Amino acid sequence: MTAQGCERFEDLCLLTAAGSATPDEERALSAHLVEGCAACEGAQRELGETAARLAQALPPIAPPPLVKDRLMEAIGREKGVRPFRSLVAPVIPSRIIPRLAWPWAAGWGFAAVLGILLVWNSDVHRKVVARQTAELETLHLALAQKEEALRLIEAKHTQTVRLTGLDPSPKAFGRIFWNPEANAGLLFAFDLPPLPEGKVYQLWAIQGAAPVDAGIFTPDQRGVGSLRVKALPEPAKTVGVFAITIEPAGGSRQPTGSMYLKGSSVLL
Amino acid sequence: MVMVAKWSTAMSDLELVQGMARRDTQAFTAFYDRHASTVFSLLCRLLGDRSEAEDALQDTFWQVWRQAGAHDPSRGSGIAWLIQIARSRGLDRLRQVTLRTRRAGDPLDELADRLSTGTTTDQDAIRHETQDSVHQALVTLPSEQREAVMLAFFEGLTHPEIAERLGAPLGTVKTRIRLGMRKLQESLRATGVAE
Repeated sequence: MTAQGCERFEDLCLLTAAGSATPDEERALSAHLVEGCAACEGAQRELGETAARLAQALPPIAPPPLVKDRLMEAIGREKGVRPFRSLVAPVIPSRIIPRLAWPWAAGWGFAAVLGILLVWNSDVHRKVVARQTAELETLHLALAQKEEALRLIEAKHTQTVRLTGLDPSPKAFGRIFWNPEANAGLLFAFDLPPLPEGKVYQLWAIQGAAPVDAGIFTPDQRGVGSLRVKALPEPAKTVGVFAITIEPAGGSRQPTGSMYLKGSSVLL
Repeated sequence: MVMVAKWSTAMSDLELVQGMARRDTQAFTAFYDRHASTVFSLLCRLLGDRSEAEDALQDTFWQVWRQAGAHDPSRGSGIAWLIQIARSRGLDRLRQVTLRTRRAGDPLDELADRLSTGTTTDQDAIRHETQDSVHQALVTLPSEQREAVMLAFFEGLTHPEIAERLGAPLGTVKTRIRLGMRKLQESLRATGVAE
């Protein structure tokens, strides 16, 4: 599969494709590929295809439409902004390399070294720019999400529902910003007790007597949890109460666990 | 609508990525519609939390849109590039957030539960064919190799973590993963699903 002397890197290609390589091993493989080992690069490419097929073997799960909506909105806002990829160093056309007046041998030698340096530098530069770009994009996205939250909180028809802790968690409290017109909401909960293994918190919107699943979440180590409330199937129906229970991982169709937080949907 | 339909069915992944590089939102929509459910399924499996998976899915496709111009087809197909980004964003999120719960199901059981609804498009047909081939390839792996590959790929564990989880020597775990991946690749090559 790979060139002689590359056995170690062939192993690393296999481990990296499976996703089990440690960060140090991934760095070692990247450094080797930067050196221009075509055989290992080919092996890595082929194994990348195998890994992609592995992912495609899972039964597909349709994501909620909200994800696509947010992306299209972000793309719409971004249009006209100079793309990050333009920061990548441009390829230097060969015609602008000056004609050398040196003897042929020296000239070819210099050109070869220059070529190697350019390729190496370009590859390293590309990787650095890609990493920085990914970091910038994460920040962009975080900002877009915060803007979205602000828009919801400031919207005319958004209600604030205060959640108070019940017996299992009297110190816990929370707040839901719920906009029935937009069928969208945000939950923030604090001082939640740690979850038992294999459990999640689940938010319920109670419309009439029927609790409707409004999403699951896991709080962080400080007991702080947040959730984008799921769009309700019948948003026109008034939500009388929001409640949070503990349910098995993945959530339940109907509440089965203790109620930890509860709040009435009254305009505050 | 005609253009969307054209993008959705007639264009290859590579053509859609090239379209995105030209900032064509229809190409993005078609690429998203084609692959979002696969990526979301992988992220749900990796993160064990639907809400986190939604965020990671958004991160993934945002990066795809922003970096489409930097995609180099000689380094891999569009789907391989997408899955690489998705795993990377998923693992970033896994490291950032302490997820207390993970789905307990065996991925292999999930594969057995794959969609049984009728085929509606060429893309669906290709996906079902791929699922069948990969499922067969996984089933034929020795169970310890399959387990090691599954823990690495779908649970995001490194081989030291897998060794700890299984109580097996590190060298043994690495060998299982290497052999498993190699056999998987050979099986998929034989069925024409992978290079």
